[in-house]
Amino acid sequence: MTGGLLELATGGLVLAGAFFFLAGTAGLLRFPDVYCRLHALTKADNLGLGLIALGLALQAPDWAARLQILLIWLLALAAAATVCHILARSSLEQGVPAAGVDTEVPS
Amino acid sequence: MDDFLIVVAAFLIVNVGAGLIRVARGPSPADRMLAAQLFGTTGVAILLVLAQATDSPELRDVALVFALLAVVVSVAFVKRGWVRTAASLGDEGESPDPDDGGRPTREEEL
Amino acid sequence: MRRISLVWLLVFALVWTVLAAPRFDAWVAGGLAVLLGTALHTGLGGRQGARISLRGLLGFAPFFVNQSVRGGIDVAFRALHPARPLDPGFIRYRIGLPAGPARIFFVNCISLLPGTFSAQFHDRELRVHLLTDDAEGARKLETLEEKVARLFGVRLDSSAPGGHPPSSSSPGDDAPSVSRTLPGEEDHHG
Repeated sequence: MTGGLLELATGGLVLAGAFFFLAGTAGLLRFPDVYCRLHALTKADNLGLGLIALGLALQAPDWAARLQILLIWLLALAAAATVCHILARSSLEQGVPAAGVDTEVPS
Repeated sequence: MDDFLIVVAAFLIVNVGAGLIRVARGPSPADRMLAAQLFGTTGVAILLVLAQATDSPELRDVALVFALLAVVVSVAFVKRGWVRTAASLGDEGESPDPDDGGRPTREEEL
Repeated sequence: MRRISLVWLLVFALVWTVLAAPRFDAWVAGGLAVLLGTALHTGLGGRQGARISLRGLLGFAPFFVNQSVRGGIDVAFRALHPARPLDPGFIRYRIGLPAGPARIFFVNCISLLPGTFSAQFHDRELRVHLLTDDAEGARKLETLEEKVARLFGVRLDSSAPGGHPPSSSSPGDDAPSVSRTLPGEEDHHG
């Protein structure tokens, strides 16, 4: 009985995760500049990975595997933040233009 | 459940394939490098799903390496790769400031 | 100093145990990796001594998860919406956290929370890219900074060295010290 419920929960979480990966790719293709695209990749994809990891952790054979999945997710988060920062920084340093940056400066 | 997970893994692979359109289009080198991040995160997800679906826990170790490799690749890119390709800057014409595109690149700073 | 190294030795050993599963033959390589990791961590400035309070962590984790979910939904909505509603821009933010692990953690968290990522930072000057450039973005950064300060048990420093106008000493009742900038507007690396 509980096994069926768990499977259902895993299915829902994994599907939701896949949806956020789809959204992340949509943003990667549709957003106007490299800075906005970085948002799509780091936010949507990480939530997608988190949901899939959570769903799979419910099915994991033991707690060691669950801890391992959690650790992989945390490392992927740290990696995403690092990659996002260094790509944005060098884009700025190389003068890659940003869309939607207007010249109005609030006092 | 396993069949369902295989379908999800296939869907994620298609997703990575679609992301490759951005890599092909660019326009800036950093846009192409987004692929490293895409491969990293989606690759980890695919491997975790497959580890469960095919009952092969060693794939989780591979997922771990994927997560870390994305960082190494990106650092290598900004330190070594960009200087030579900096000429191909620019965007899809959506920048409000036309002067931005003509800004001289700052190769000496890397 | 030595005590902190010992804590990190234990942390790295735990990480290895999780990664390799408790297999004893794996500890030939694992012990070496753990020692190397601790040495690297100490050598790279881990000595500055981060103290994460458990209560702070229990308060921070739900906040982080909640914000991550909202950030993902927000970006997904914008990416899939036919009109692609975006109003991107850069703002400047003066970091009040002391130099060290807390500041690094803060800068990295910005990149994972809704609509913001840190693009450049030098000393206290942080440049953040916003997906929607509005006053709320700066407020979110202040909330996050306060949470990080509580997590690490450090105080926000509002004094502003280096000729910049001082930011408000009480972040709650004044506008945050941010301004819009164009990318590449100012000289990099001084």
